[in-house]
Amino acid sequence: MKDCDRWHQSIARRLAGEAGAAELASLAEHCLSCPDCRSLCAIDEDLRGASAAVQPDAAGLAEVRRAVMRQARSEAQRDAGAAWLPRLLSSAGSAPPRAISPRALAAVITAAAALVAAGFLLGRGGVQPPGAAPDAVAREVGRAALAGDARRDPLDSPFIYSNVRLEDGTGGRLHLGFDVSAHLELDRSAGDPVVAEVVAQALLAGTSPVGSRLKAVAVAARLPDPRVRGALLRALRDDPSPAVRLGALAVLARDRGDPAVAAAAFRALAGEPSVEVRLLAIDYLAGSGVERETLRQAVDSAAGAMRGALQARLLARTSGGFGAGGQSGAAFERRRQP
Amino acid sequence: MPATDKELAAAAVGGKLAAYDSLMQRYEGLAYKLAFGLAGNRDGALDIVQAAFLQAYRNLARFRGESAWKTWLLRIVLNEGRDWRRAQRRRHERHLPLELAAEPEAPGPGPEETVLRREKRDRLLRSLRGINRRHSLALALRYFEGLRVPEIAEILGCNETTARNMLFRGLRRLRAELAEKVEAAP
Repeated sequence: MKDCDRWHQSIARRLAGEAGAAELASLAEHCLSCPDCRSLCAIDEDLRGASAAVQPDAAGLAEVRRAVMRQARSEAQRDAGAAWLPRLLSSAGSAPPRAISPRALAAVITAAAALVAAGFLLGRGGVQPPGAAPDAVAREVGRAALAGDARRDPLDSPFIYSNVRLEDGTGGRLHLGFDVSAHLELDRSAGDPVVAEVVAQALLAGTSPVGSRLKAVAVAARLPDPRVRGALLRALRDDPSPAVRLGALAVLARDRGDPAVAAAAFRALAGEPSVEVRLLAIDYLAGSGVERETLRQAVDSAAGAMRGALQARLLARTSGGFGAGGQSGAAFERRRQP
Repeated sequence: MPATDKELAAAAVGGKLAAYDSLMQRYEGLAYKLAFGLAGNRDGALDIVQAAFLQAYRNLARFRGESAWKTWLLRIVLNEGRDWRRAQRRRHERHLPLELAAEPEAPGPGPEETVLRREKRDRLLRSLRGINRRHSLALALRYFEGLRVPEIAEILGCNETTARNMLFRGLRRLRAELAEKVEAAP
């Protein structure tokens, strides 16, 4: 092996692409009689082969680009919205807010309030009465909902939704209210793709008030749609309202065989700020047969004030309640197999 | 003459999203190959690329042009790859299955050969994820990006001698990891 030290230098240069032809030839000759160096060179070859076999996935990357652009556009619009008052101050020729006089500030706020009111009235000017024939935008929304890949991220929508309102209509239909480029009022059956699309969009934090998001969670419980499920998972992870996160987990928890839900519940158990959500996560995971020891480790890592409640719930759920005895991780996985 | 990376980045900072789209198109192939080396499968690679492009967009204003945009982006891909791997490890530790997505394979002599080749490659990529992180990153940058030692050193923030050593030590660690996997196989 000691004799191989200088050959190892050659192999290092070969890896770095710095070995000359003569050196490579000598190394190849040495490898014929040295299994140690030969095995290293073979892995080098295999890595080159593995790399050459990887072809960029054009369709997947195009989808990635669209998703990034969608998110970037959404963030740019949000930032622009957050910056309207400074812009107004700037366009009014005022000094920075800290230096503005109380009288000037009052004038600016009055002007801003007038603009908001005008915007509100203008925005409502386009509202269609319920039951009116959908206009071109509604047709486009419907087309997008139909064309959407069931697995696509709700953020990757051709429309940005806001001001979402969901109400129960008559005869099991749902009344949807939302803004895209105009405010639409549609009546659709629960199985209509537009309903799933709007519910999924309403669940995205920041696009609708908390009341609408809670209503969307309630409606989502009736919609077995993968887009809605994806939005529920996102809401469980990202929604600023604990009530929405709790509701999202409650709906998701009805499916005990879904690895994505189990992963989300684990994440909630480990880092969710709301104790209520963590308690529900324990219920779900214990009920899914996850080993008590696995849950105990997650519970024990919780902050002191919360830990007691979580330990008590874990004890209750794994000693005589459902999940008693706990299943091994392997058994848990086997249960998931179709 | 096509716009330079720096010009496109500046335009994107100024609000021209189309410029950022051009930047993504220019480097998505490179980013994907590196991400594939880190994740070992298509879905993971796409997740990493998406997270990296989004992260790069959010931090565009911090890009000063002191290094090449490509180097800056690849650093972000490495960071996102690290986060992805952590998340996968946590998922794996919690007994949840980690599916390797079906990956298109270049046509081989026959189905049996293709399967064997794919198994070998999957084993290699899994082992690459099992070794020391910096060694693994150095190898991914060398093989999947085809970068030279000075570029690898710049991205990993070390000198060229260290980068060379990491490549060689990484290869030896990879051999040991592969041997362990073969012994552990039923």
